[in-house]
Amino acid sequence: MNCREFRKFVGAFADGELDVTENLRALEHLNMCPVCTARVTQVNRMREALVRIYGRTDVPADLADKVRLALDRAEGAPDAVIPMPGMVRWVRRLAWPAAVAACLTLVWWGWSASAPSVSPKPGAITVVPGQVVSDVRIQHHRCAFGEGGPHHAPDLPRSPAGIAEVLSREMGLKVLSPDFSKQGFELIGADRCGILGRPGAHVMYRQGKSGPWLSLFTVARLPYFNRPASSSGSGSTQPAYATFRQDGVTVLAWNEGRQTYFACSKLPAEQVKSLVNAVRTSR
Amino acid sequence: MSMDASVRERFEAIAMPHLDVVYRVARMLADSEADAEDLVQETFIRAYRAFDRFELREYGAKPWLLRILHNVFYTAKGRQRRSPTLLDDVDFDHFADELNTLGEDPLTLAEMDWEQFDEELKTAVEGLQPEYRSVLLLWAIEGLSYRGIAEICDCPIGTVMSRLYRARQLVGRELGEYARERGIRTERFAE
Repeated sequence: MNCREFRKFVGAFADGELDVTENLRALEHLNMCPVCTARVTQVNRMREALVRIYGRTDVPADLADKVRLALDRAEGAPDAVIPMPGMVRWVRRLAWPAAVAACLTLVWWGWSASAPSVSPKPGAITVVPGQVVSDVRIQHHRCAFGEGGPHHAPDLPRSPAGIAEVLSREMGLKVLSPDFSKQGFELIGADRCGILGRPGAHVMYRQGKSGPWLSLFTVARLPYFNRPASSSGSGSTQPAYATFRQDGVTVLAWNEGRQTYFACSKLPAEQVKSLVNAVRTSR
Repeated sequence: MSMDASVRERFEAIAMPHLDVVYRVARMLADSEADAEDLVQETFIRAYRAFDRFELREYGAKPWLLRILHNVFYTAKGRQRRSPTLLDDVDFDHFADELNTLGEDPLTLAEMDWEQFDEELKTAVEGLQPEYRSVLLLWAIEGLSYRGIAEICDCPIGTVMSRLYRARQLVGRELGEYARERGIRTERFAE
């Protein structure tokens, strides 16, 4: 066996998966080849390191209770909703495009009694300034896309970092409030605005003095915007988005940690993505 | 569908002891603890519903649960479990030739202190495509045989071997680059 042949077997040899004959041939080669011996050592060292890093994963103390609760519910409703705290998980059973389409089209879940009534108009995500909405119908929200003036909660700072700090602490989320000044976008307002049934943070930017807007929303994680990130094969991972373009508005959605983020604008999708990528890769 | 109490008790007696393992593997696959918990719960629900078709054999319920977990993960991701990959279509000789050009340094990787690269190793692993990552971590953490991994991932043993080979090579290459950046190089076998 030469080095080229052995390289195909190095992992299987280290893992004890070779048959007797191949094992003997491998051992004969290793007696003469320090480089291939080092390859075997490398495999073993990698396994030890992975055990060290991943083998100590802490299991949540309440996971068993959650599983039993889920099983209880499954016994009672085997084919339909398995309600989890705070959210109905029917979306899990839909392909994500269908789930997203459902969210962006007319689905009435119940309107919060304290919310003002607004006439539905197709074309935009529903956000009601300063209110938490419980429906997911399409409705035009003026300040998400720059129509009407900005709104800013008077108790919030005016700097991106200050807004992020205050709202992150208040909401228990990692609020996205980047500095887009290098990209030519000025921060013009921040408020507590709900989206898709969850309370969240809304940070508004404008290109120059009168250009198009970019609105960033941060809410607690929603499950139906998961997309596999693409890997370039070199170990780097490209951000993954759900992208919607409808009636002249772009909505970008992505999950990161315990948050779902939305970027809404009348800018083209690629430009919005470019802006967001610049922020995500620098964090 | 309603199951009587004895069936539920039997299921819990067989499946719940493997909760920790299922969570650990779920955590390897998922992006976050929250996603991992979701995967685990969905796995146990599906397992419970399929329990009447499960046969307990000498290897226990762990491979069965992990296979369900694997299916749940890839179903949620909208992926085909058997989606063909370039690696599956490439034979080993071609693959070995490709890797000969990577400039890896096995001597350095064998001799260096791996503990100083824990974060880099984690980054490299998390940068792998899920198919490679899951095979790599099932091999390392759960100590599964190639056959065991193949059953969980529902793919041929040859695919497991090639994915594992590829995953180790990609991770090794990343660490080799980190080692070079830090000027770490073994002189023991220097020419």
